[in-house]
Amino acid sequence: MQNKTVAQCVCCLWIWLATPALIPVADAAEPYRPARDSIVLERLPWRAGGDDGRQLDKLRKALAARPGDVASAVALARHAFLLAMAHGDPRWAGMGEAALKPWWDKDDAPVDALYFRALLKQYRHEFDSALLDLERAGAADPTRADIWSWRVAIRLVKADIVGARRDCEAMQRSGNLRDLRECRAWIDGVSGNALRAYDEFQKLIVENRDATAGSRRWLHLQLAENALRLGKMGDAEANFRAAHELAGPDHASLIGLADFLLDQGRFQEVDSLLGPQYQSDAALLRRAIARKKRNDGRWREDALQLGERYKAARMRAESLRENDEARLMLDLYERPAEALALAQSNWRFQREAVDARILLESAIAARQPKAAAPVLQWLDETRIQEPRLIQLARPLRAPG
Amino acid sequence: MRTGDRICLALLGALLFAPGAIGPANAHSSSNSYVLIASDGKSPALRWDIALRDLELVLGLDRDGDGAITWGEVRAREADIFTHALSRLSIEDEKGACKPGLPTLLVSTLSDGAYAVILAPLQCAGGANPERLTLTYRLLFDIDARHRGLVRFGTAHSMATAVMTPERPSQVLQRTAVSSWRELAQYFQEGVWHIWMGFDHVLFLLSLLLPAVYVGVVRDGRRTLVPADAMRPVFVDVFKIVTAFTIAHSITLTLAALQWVSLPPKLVESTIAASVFLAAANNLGLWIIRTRWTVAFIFGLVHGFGFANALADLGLSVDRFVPALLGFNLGVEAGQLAIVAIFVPVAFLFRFTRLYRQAVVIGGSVLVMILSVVWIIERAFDLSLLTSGTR
Repeated sequence: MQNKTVAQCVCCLWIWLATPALIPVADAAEPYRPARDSIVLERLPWRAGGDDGRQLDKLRKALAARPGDVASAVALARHAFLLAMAHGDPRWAGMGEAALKPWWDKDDAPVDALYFRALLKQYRHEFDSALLDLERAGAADPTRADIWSWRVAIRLVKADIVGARRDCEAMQRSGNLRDLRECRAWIDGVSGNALRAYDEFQKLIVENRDATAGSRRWLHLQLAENALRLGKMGDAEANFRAAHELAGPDHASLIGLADFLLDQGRFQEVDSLLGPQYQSDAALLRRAIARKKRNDGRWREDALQLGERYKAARMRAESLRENDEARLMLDLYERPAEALALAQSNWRFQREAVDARILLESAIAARQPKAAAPVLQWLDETRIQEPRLIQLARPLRAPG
Repeated sequence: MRTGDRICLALLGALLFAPGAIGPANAHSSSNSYVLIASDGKSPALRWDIALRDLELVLGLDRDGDGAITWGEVRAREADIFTHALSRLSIEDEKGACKPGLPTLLVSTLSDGAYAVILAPLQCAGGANPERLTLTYRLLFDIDARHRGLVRFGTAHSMATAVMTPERPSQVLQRTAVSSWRELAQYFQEGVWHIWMGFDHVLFLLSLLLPAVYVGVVRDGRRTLVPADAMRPVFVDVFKIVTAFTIAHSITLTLAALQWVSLPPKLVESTIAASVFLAAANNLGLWIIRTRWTVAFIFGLVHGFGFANALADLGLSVDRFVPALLGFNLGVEAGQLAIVAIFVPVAFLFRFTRLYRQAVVIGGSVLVMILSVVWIIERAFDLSLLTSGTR
């Protein structure tokens, strides 16, 4: 047998493998001069088309012209908050905060200032402070249902069902029966009465065909979540899609639909849904997971980008989405111990189904079933009907 | 050197230096700007990366309102960008102001979008190598209460960092020596972990080492292996292979970690799998006996890129952090030596047995070949045939 030179072997293999594998590698942190003036460097979704950009400019000008005027500040804060919710973009929350700065630390600020202050705080997960602000706002104007409904929302995030029910019943003072029904159904959904909630939301959707897109979207999302709890997948999908397709971008609907498709294993559809115009952390994460599951090599780029973003967030000593960060660690970086640490840290502030799920999954993956104990307790206390969670928790309950 | 080899080496060279390409990444995240005051002994310099999205809010860069900021639109406002930004940052050392000289405007692409980069030399009153600076920062604070200025000052070995906030717009940065030992120890652990978890690296090395306890002789015109008489030739052989592998992967690990050389990960991983195949195949075909260290060296170069990918996956930019790189590499070597130290004496003891010759060397090599073929297919075509195929 002849001796082949090693070099020949290497070269043959190299050429054979190189053709499908040549991908240019980017070193993007180095500053550079773009070659042509026409090269697009950044896209601004809130500028292109639509009123958002013009409205924003108008409101900023108005506030600049009248710096101490609460109404102008609140108008800007409201618009900024809506932009944050539409695009999943925390930058807008910062703008809202800056607009309300003169009233940020005042306990006796006007109701609207207190209200938007609370919404911006809860966006940053300062839940207790937000609740206090809402309490002050509610004391100043008890007839506003939206104040109570945000209190309920925050209580539910903290899994305080009893407090949520109490705040819900306080809505009776607003005299708005519809809000009260919505609120009760909402709490039913997360406390073991999904069927009752489902029926009620179905009725509410029919009755509220003329309501604003924002209200209808919320109703569709609630219906979708309750449909999931009852195992009605077709209904769930129809409602997630309805929420997503209502006018105007809405980040929560987008992510709700994406999560649903991911759980159904429809990874191609997730990839198509989360096109390049969606660049929030949450969207990037789900796209990366879908790509990884399809063995599309591009998932690594998204994962690295996310890692960089979370690193930057750590430098600011800020961790807004620890549940997503835990998901990144578990599904993309495959480091269950770190995922578990993040999930546990997240659980201190947020206790909804999505938070429970990442804590359960990372506790199982990290082989630390004891770490899941708080979730098991939460499942027992809330009696929430989340089939996937119950299924995940079952082996952890087995004695021994 | 034969022509074929020349061509191959030329191709190799071309592939090693593939040109970079930059793709814009638009994104949504909290607003940061990055201030870097580099002080390399000659003269301090400022580099300030400010997100174009933020500049749009303060200056309105998108002149035609089409929702896209182009380089032309940025360049047109160059003077305004400099004035706006530099008037909101003041730097002082112990003796007085550090004045920015003539600024240049460039662009960078970070994880959450495109940034304008202001580069300017700094003239500091107290000399060219300040140890302590006072920064006052107020960019964007009036518009975005959550904007943060992330500041780094110094060199990799002696630096200070700070986060500028509306509550703390003025801070002192004092350079302190980076604790290299701690970093080194941490990366050492990661290096050891990586080689133990990197089955392809381990199998490559072990495949080369399996026949180390034999010597090649020609019997009846055919190459064959007989057990070595003494430990010394075995030791020399193992030493050459391990050292060659170590030197090779250290070189490319360093080159890749410093980002002087970049190879596509898919290509690297596929070639590593191929190297395992060839090393195992060689145990059956016996093409290369005495110069296995050359195989170790050449493929070691590729394995080094694989280690660099793993290091990058640790999510930490190594670029100039020598302790991290050194630690990781030492960890890899230590992990390797541990494997070798366990394997070689055992193999030596069992070298006369049929069990070793047939089951371990031949049987083991066949198994490794099969496994490596699966890996090659997985990595070249992005499939997952075995569970958790990704590393």
